[in-house]
Amino acid sequence: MQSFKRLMGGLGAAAIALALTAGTAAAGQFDGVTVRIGTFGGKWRDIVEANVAKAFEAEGGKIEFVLGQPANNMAKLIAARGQEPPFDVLETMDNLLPQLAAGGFLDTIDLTKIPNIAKVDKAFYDDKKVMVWITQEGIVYNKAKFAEAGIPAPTRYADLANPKLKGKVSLPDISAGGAMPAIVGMSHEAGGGEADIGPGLELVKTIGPASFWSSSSNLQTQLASGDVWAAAAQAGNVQRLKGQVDLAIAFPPVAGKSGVLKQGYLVKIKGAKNAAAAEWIINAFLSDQMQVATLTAGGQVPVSGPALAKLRENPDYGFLRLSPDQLAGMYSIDFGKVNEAAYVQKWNRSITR
Amino acid sequence: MTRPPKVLLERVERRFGSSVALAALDLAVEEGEFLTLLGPSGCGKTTTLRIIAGFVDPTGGRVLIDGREVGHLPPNKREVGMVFQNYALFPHLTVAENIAFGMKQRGAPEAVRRRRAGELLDLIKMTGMGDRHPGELSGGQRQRVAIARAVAHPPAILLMDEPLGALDLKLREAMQQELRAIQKALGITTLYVTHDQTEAMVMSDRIVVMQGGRVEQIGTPSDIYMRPASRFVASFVGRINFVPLAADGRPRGGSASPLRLPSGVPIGSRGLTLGLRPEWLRLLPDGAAVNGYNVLDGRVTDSVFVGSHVSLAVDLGDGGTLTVDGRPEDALPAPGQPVRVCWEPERAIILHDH
Amino acid sequence: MAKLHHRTPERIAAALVLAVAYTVLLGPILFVIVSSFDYGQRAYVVFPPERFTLESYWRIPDRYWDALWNSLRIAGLCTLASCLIGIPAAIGIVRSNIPGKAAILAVFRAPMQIPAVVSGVAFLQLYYALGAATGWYAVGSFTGMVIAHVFAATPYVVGTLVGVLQRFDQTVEEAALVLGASRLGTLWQVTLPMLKPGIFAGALYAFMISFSEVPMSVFLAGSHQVTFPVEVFHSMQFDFEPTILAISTIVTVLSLVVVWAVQRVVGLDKFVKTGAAD
Repeated sequence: MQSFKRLMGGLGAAAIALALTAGTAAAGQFDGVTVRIGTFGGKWRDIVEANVAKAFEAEGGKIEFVLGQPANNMAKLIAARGQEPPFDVLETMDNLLPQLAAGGFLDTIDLTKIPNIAKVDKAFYDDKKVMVWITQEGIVYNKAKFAEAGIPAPTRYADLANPKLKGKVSLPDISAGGAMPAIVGMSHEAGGGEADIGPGLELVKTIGPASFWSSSSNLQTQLASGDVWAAAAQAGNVQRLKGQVDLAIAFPPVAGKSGVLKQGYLVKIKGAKNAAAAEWIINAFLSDQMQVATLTAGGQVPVSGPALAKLRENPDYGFLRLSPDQLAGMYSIDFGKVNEAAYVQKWNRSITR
Repeated sequence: MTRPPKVLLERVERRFGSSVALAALDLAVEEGEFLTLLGPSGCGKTTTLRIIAGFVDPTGGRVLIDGREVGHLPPNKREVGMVFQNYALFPHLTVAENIAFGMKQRGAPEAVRRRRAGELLDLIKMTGMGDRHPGELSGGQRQRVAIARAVAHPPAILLMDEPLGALDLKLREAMQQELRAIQKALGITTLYVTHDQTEAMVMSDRIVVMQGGRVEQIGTPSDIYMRPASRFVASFVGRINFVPLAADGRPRGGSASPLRLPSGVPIGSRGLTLGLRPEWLRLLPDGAAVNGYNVLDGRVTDSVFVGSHVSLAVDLGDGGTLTVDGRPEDALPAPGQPVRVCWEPERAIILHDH
Repeated sequence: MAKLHHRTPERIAAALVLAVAYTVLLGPILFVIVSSFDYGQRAYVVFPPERFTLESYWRIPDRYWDALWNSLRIAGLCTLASCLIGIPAAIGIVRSNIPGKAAILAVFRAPMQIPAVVSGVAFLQLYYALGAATGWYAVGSFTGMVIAHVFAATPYVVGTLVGVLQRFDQTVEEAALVLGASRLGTLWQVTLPMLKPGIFAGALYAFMISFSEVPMSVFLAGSHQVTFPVEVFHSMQFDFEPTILAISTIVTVLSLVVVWAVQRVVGLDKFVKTGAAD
């Protein structure tokens, strides 16, 4: 009798367990769906994993990462032309969008399936691309060193030519991620623009920087050690070196606006297997949780209203421009007029190292 | 009671394209003898050795070892031992492993190999050095190990290809003695290749002088030296002066009186050439009387002290020059002095012009 | 073993040159190792370290360990395959009489002359083309990665061994044959053991080429398998973390231990002394 009871009890428990697992399984709208995201590696991947992939897994799906710089991932896309693309969603930067569009790689995004899109400025998306983060580019400088040397806070790129800064300035190398905003910003300031970077390169020569930084860790080490007092770079450096050196960022005027935005987008790739899930993923990138983490953990500025509002309350981020008006007042590069190959050629010709 | 030769080559021939490395060579190596192939480089001596070892296939003829034809056998089935000029020791094996290598290939048990290697190490005076590697040995020691390795599994014949060529003169002379002693101790039939005539003379029972892929002469060292079969042999082995004679017995182109020849040698209608070793010649003052000797007059042009003797060059005035060995303790004429060169008529090599 | 006599000034000069050479060679490695014991600001390298902590080590994320394990497997297989292809190829190129040996050698060396990024894209396209034809996609797969690495590493095995074989004294093989060894026995007992230092050097090359390969691997890495240097590369591109120093230190120490161990097993010193049959 005892054993029968135990048997029945066991059976009951098993049945409940079965029902429970069946229940959770039924709740997932993406059971068995695997979405591949082409994105950056390292820490950023961990952030996406924690704030997007976890939620997707709760819906029964799975995210796979195809890691690489955007240009790198675009090469993979081109190699796979005519066949199944290597990823469904690609995280890319503004400078590659014209090429991705010209290559016919962009699929139309069904914005109605992205409720969080309502939290984003209409200028930041259309049915081919959705902006998910930005970096704010200007002049990062060491407040203490400037005060010591009696140098006023910079307002324009040309201020970096101050003789008192000789040997203390770093500009991005043409290969660095921050090269495009700095070159375009300086060109506008010096009377040129995207279509004419000659004046910008002249300004680079006038400034005569002590070094050209090639990666952010390279620049940050120099800033932290006090070897470099000022650099054309993005605001994220201020946050990452907090506690080590007291940095500030100035946004010089660029074509009637101030500072330059570098923009990160999500795009849906044509031919993607799990198209339906793409919109869900983009929506998750725009969730308040992910958008806040974008700044707090990732050092990039989010684009969604509520996240920006929440971060504005934190004085730690006071150096950033986090209101919609401020963002609208920053310059977005017109990549339609940018010819990167020509930029590299001109740079190699005129900037002698 | 004649035993068959240990190695027999019958009309062995080797051509490389249109050039002939070896032309119809007949050669018999007798049991237990030390036979040397002597000749300048390119004479075919090394090719002969490599044909016997099986590294080179003859384009014609037969090779027999112990009366058995081996032409179709690869080197590892021929039961020959070989010592190379550069030693060719196995650098990754110890001295004892090197020596035992051949026995190991034939499945000799470890204990047998160890004992035999020990015996051979004693023989080559390297007792207790079996655990060293070749890189730790001197040139002479490496050479001795190479010999021990070649004879460890007793081969039908030991082939040696200029084995002392890489050693300096002093060591080479010592090794010549030692090698000969080892060969005698083992009683092993040996075919030795060298271009050094002194080495050949010192070591060999018989010498085969080769030139241009052919055998010029086969004989004992004294045969080869005293009775060379050709002008080539005469000049290749030892030093020699040649005096060509006209049909009337006078030196050709000179004004000297007719020379006497060794007994029983007729002078042909076309004349012949006299071969005179420098040590057979004597120098006398100008005008000195000689009885029963051949005489040629000349003038000393050069005098070189070489230690064991003084080498003098005597100009015969007719364009010919004689090299004469003088004893250092004698009062020798200085360069410029007229002299008479004389020799016993019997001490001369007769070379018929072909 | 002749005793070396040096005058003191020469000895000091030699020691100085040696010190400079070692500083230049080992400086960056020591820098990484020392810096790895300071976990603090995560954005840049702190040197000299301001405190001693193993925090960077505890915080090494799993993705580094996964990538490291993956890289070791890829490099191991790549080494094996490169040797299996490269050793016979080198022997064939040096020993045979086939016509056009120079051309064949050039083909085997070609991968060294192609920029790795170009090879990476080429492999990517090849794999897609192959996938379209056969239905089997090597893109992002372990096998695909190994094949590409073998492509990059084999020239180093061939190059090293061709060099060794050209200096190889073949009379040693003749000696073995005459002593009764068969062709195969000669290969096994004499040729290969004598080539061992060359094979070891070639294999080490192959392993290092594979283990440190980035430009091709960046294209061929998949979501399930990323190689260690590519993982580090991605991390550095996005942001700097002190854990990179920690895992790099571990890899450095590991490499030293492995080279030391292999050297002990293979016995390189013996060959250095012997200088392979002079």
